[in-house]
Amino acid sequence: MSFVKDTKEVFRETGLHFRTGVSYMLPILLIGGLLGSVSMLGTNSDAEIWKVLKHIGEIGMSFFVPMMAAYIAYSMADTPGLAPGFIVGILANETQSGYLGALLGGILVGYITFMLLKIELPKLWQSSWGMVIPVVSTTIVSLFLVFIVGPPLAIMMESMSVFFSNLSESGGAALGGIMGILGGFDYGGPFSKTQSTFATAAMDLNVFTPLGITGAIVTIPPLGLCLATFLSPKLYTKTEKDYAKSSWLYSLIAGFTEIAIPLAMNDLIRATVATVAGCLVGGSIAGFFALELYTPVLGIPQWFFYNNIYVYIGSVVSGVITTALLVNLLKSISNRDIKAIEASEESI
Amino acid sequence: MKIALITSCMAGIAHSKMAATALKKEAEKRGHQMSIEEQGGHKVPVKLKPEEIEEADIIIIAKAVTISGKDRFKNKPTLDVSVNKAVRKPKEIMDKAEELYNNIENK
Repeated sequence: MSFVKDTKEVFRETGLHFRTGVSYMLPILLIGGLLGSVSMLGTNSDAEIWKVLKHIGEIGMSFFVPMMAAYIAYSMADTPGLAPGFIVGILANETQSGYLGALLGGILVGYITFMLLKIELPKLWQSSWGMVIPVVSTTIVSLFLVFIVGPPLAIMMESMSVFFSNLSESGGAALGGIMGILGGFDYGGPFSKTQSTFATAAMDLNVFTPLGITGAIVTIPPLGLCLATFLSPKLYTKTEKDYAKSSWLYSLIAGFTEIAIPLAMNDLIRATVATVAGCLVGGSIAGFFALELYTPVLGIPQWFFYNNIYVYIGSVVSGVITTALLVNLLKSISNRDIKAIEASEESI
Repeated sequence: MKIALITSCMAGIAHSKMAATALKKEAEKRGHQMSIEEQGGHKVPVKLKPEEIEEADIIIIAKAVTISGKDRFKNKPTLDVSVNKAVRKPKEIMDKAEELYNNIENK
């Protein structure tokens, strides 16, 4: 029966649906975070405009959780999933289960809607069935959230929040180190996203250190690998050197880990060891000094929203230098045949 | 042959662009024409024109997030791949695309 096959399909693609939800959530975070941060400039002013900006920012920040749940469900069940997703997301927000609740709720409501759509009824009933589906799936998942998973999730979020607000220096460094390992590991893949998702979840609790750590480590892999090609050009192919020349500035401006991929691709293991080490160093420093970032933006705009720009610069620079030196050391003791790689690149 | 490519990634800034560049380069090397649409959270969408879709022999979708407007390609032979694979192995994907195209032609 196609039921089993479809279920498998939709679950195998959970990652895709989750990413879709996050993709639609990013702009709302940007708007909310940016306006909220801008309004901080007017803390000492009485002008009405700052209050309005602050309020708009707050709307954005309170809406990103439902937005994500809605579009996870939308990605799974198409249009019939959208409304249930929003309702479940708002509910998750209100019952204090927050980001995690919305993630779970969005996936569940999307899945149930999707499965209900598969039911085939006699023609007479089929058209009205379409109107019933969202109501049924919303009811099931909402009740489930409120009565079964809601309370434990809320306690979990609460204890997370307490844990972070009492984070010691060494605890912060350990947190930064772990996030660094994840962030440096796969250049914007699932591990990096786990760490940035976690940072966003923490921001939902008004804890900004994880986001600060994420912000600090995100540019370390590309900058580190670019710097490495400048330090010892002998160890790199012409394509890699050309790419590094044009992309270091881009990584500074736009701030993406993904920019590192072409530089790491040909020599994945050594590059990954180096970027993990670099991010570990950078993340630990950022965590130790409790670096906070108030807005989930990347690149240059970040610079204005750190609580301490010197910590940011310090952690990035030390991470970048670690990465560059380590990758060159590893490459110099290996026998990577540059000429052969260049030759194969030309023959393509 | 003519190819219409749709790429998508989470933020719409890095992966979608890289996949599009890699596939386009490979396609041009093999003498195919390619029109591109990139999608993602922060991206200003440049939609494929209806006639570009109409003219295309096959559609390649390289996605990391669900693409919007999937209905447009309903009746077209479609190759569905992940955006990561498109960045890393554009050759493999173009091989598959050519195979798909040949299968249709031979029918």
